[in-house]
Amino acid sequence: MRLDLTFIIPAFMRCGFAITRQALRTPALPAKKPMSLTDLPPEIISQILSYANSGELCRLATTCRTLNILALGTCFRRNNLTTAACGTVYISEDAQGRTSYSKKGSLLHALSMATVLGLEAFPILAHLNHLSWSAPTSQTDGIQKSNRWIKEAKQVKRFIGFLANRPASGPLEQITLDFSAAINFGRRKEEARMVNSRAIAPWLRVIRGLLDEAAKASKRVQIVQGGRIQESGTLVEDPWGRQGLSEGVFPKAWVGTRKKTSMGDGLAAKDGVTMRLIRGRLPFRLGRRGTNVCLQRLDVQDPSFLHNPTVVRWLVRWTRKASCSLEVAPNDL
Amino acid sequence: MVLLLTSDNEMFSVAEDVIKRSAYIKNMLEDVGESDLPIPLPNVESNVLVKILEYCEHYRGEPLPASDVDPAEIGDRSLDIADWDQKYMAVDQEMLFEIILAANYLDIKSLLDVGCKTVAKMMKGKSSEEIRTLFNIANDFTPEEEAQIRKENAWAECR
Repeated sequence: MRLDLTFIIPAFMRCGFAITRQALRTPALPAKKPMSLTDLPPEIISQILSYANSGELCRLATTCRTLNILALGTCFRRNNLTTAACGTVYISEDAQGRTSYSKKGSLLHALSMATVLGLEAFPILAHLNHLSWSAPTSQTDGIQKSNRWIKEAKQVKRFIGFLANRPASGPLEQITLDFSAAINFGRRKEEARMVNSRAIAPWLRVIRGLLDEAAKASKRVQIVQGGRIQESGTLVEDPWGRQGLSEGVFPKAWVGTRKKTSMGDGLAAKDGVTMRLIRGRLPFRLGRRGTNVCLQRLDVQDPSFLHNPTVVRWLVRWTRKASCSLEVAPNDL
Repeated sequence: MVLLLTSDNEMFSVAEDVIKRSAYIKNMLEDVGESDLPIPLPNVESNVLVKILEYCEHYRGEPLPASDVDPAEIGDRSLDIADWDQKYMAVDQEMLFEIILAANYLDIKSLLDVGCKTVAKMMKGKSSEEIRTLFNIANDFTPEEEAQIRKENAWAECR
């Protein structure tokens, strides 16, 4: 290559660089100029997106497919939902998505958006095997929004429905639900109202919607308190009796206790933990046949559910319908 | 002095301490050593390189940033841009993207950061339709996908 240095611009010399023009026989190929944001390489777009908050990422995800995949991918990485560490997704107060609630951004929103393009764009969703959701409090920035958790529950239900219909993916190992921040069936002040089945019917309807969908998506469902799985408990001989109930409430269920020392699935498996087990496998299997219900066990560890006889009756009825076993860990009954 | 040859065949003679802000050139000089041959930059046009060199010249002598964190992992990062950088980035969008691409190619991390921040700042507070218009983004969702997106967003908007 022969260079023909024709001129130097002296003004640039003091700036530390100079331009010379050279004539080459073969002109260089014109590079494709970036006309749109999506013409930039994905790693650069990802870097741009790293400056956006969760809400902005979800908004960007609605612009086009490329930004949808990259923005939601960024959101998932921030919530440690990556291929390497995937398997469990926590939607809770301390998750990053929820803290930016006022910015209309959340991990749940991102997950819901990801269902639009589905598993092809987000293969990570195929690997999920544990979903944990904590209902939000009804208090937002000092404003009471009693139906806030219900709206979110419906969104979670839709997401669980998506997970239940994943082709080539087995059912989830577990779905953990925590309603303690939103509802308390055992609240003393409102005890009379809480026991009234009509008064609590709307809430139970929402919970039933979630459980119905969860029964199709997961082998095990846990209802916990405070977002944590109870790891220790005490033996309670007759929690139902303390609530003025008896085994007669569950005429076709047998009730027993067992030492929880060797749980194969590694959850709440501390030695000496005693749980109350009610087998709900009954002759009739409503909803089991003809549907893809895969639930094997419902664990209820939220005392607020177990303090309320109406809710307990309802739980047992639902357990029969799903034809799964009901297990409770009444630590403080 | 280091010779740089742009994609449109312009030769630039640049002081070594200026261009060493580019990790790509710095590594090349360390690997190859002193040479009279120009370094070809097939991905950078002369008008873009002039802007890049203006940046390098401004920050001549300042220590190089030593951050190696994956930027995508960090959320809600500060969008503060120095005054000079803001004026420097006051260019049309095509040039802005070209500066970003060149900074990426030449591995000038601080310039790439400023470019990305500038774009991120432009996005702030805009609706998806405004972002589409601003950055010339084609909506390639199918009508079904669009409807589902609207549905998923309706929930988020009314929270």
